[in-house]
Amino acid sequence: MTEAPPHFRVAVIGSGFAGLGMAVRLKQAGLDDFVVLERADDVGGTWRDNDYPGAACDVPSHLYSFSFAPNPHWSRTFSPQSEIWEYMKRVAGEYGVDRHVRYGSDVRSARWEPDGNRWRITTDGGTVTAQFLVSGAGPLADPSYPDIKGLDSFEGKLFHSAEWDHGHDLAGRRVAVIGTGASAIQFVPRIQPEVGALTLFQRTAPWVMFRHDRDITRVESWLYRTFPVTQQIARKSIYWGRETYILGFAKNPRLLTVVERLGRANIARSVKDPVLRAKLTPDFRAGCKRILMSNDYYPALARPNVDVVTDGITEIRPHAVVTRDASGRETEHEVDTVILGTGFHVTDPPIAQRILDAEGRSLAEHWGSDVRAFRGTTVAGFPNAFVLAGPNTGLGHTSQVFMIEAQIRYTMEALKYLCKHGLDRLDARPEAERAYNDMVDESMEGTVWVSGGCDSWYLNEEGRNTTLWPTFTWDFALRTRWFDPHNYDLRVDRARTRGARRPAVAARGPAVGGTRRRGRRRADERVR
Amino acid sequence: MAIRHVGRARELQVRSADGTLLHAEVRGPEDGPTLVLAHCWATSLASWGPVVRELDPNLRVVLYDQRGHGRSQTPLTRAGYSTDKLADDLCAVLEATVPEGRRAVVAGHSMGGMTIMAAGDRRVFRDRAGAVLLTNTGCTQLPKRSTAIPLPGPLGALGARAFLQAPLPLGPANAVSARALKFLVMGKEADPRTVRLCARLVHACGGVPRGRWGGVMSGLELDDTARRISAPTVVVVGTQDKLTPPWHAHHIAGLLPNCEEVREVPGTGHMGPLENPRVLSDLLEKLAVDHLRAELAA
Repeated sequence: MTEAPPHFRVAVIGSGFAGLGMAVRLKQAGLDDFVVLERADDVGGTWRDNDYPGAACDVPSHLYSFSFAPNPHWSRTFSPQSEIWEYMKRVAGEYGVDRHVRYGSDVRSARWEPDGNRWRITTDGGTVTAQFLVSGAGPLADPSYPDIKGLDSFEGKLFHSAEWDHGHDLAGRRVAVIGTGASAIQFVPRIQPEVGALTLFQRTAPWVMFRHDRDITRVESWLYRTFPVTQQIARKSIYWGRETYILGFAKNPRLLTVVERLGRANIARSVKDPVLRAKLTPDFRAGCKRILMSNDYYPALARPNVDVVTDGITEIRPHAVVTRDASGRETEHEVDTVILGTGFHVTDPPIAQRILDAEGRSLAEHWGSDVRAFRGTTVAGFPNAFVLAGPNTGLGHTSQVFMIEAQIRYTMEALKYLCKHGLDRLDARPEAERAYNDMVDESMEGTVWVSGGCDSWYLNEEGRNTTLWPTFTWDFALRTRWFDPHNYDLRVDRARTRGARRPAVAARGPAVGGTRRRGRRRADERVR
Repeated sequence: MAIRHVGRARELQVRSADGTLLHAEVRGPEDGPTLVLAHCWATSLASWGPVVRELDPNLRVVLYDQRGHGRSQTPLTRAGYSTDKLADDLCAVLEATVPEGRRAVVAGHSMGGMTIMAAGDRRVFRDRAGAVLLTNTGCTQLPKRSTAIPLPGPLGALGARAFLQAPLPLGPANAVSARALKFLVMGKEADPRTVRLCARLVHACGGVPRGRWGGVMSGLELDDTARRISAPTVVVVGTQDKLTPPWHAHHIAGLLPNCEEVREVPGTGHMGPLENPRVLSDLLEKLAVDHLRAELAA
């Protein structure tokens, strides 16, 4: 007889902001019977992996942090990656979450077993089963490699910005950077002074705004430490300030011309060469693709050792990147290092291929290219599973942590509801999911993301925005404030129905199953 | 607050089990018998200064700031404040400063004493504590037994609770607050310089961590782990201690399996290391001589 794999009430995939936040809320509710499955050897997720030079958050740190763990010690308004990662490790440590983490456990598959009413999760570090599955594998988890001919044949050094090779000395090298997204604009200014020559391959010019980044003064830090309410005021002010961006993005995109003017001024300030200026000026409405923030990106591009290439890349040869211009003429750019700033699998996250329903059909197959969920969190046909940072919960203007926390609250409300009413299974109703997504699509109409004239990582192949939340974030927080049982198919836990309750436990007596069941019930009661 | 002591302090950062960075200082000869001193609520490691100054220069003294105090990191969340965390911190400091296989005299004043009692069942502590000194401390019923707030019955306990938990910032040290502090925490004969020192230390402590720790102490319940301290222990208390009256010392002595002595110091209040440094340094030296024989020989 093979030994049954360890069973948990909740299994959380990932230990980034979503996984950690979920684990902390479970602990706060007194539910200790959970496991966090982490593929790497430390917590932190995206903020652990993306340690390229200059990595920082482009949402002010007072807002981009957990609501239950304000940090008066942020060094800058937009904190660098190392500080954010350190912050996450400390929060994990204080709540003792790290004791629940299984490191080196990359999830290979998670399959729903209706008979056992549990998820069977196979990982690199062994198999576990769990009644509830929470995926905290966010959209920026898996680097996306571009489909360019000859990418594998390159004989120099090639790496993705999310897997930065710190052992590779860039001094004096001829470097190609492919992509001008949020990562590239942060690391390009940092590596530009070091490298011999930098060729930046740009498909679409992004809008780049001036960043009001500064040190947090000692007075501010003292104030936040001494009167925590002042930090709450700062946090809320940033939140409501950022929320006004929605007026431009979603309600009236014409307002964004102001932003475009600022963006052009930002280019004009640092770039004097009219040809380069033309290359760097975007031809779509600001906000359609993510608006980026940097003070040193344009000055870096204006330096003599940088060349911006806007022609499309046709192939990569062992020592060069080849482009073709509009007239069909090919140019070979000789380089010895290629850095890919080509982003992540956002609309097709690999985790979706590994979450399987009862028939073995994956979430990715279920979705096709049209990723949708109910309240961004639960998917019809995938019972007892919650997807944090799921479909249509992304943001272009404010803190993702806010959305994640709203989803975590919703998940906790759902778990509490099930425990309180003796239920052991929930499955979103397809009609509820449909109605919800109709609402999302309706709000999406007229927003800059679908009408701004660009192709961004927000959109799927059909041009539907499956990534972003289309309106104010407080709207989402209100929608996920309470669990709504009428939108779900729920099942009564037969082992817990009246009468059968106590004798069932007593009869089992010293059996292992009996003690585990008792342990689980204790956890339930605390959740109440 | 610098401490005038034998030699210069070697400063080090100790990472506690949950990642919080603690500031620690080591003084005296590297191979001397070691004392590890844990300070009290709302001060810093400097509150042991007067005792350290009296100590034999051949002793190695380890001082550290409790989390949220002095130069140690302040927890980010409420979960960072608990007696378990205090015990974690002490164990981390012991592991970092007392070499494997050696023992130290571990002393704690007030919250430092609670730290030791919370660590009573930890392996690291049991392996490395050769002897223990607890001064002006308690392990249960803190607000109930407190006589600091002169109100009748439960009102006094409520007052003590409010005093412990209020996260109010104190602002700059002044004569009024020093008088109030003297009334609350020190004996009647405390000399004005000591009172001023105490006020400076307390005012330097952040209001938020002070209130949070006060909250932890209001609900303190450490009888079970205190019973597990097997090392020989001396318990000290001031007869005029209002925060942890002598009842606590006798209660602790009743729990400990190996209590050598309960010393009541007449005329002193709660701030033992400031008010009667001579008594404490003598006791610490005696404990070192009696119980760190192996270390003395080395």
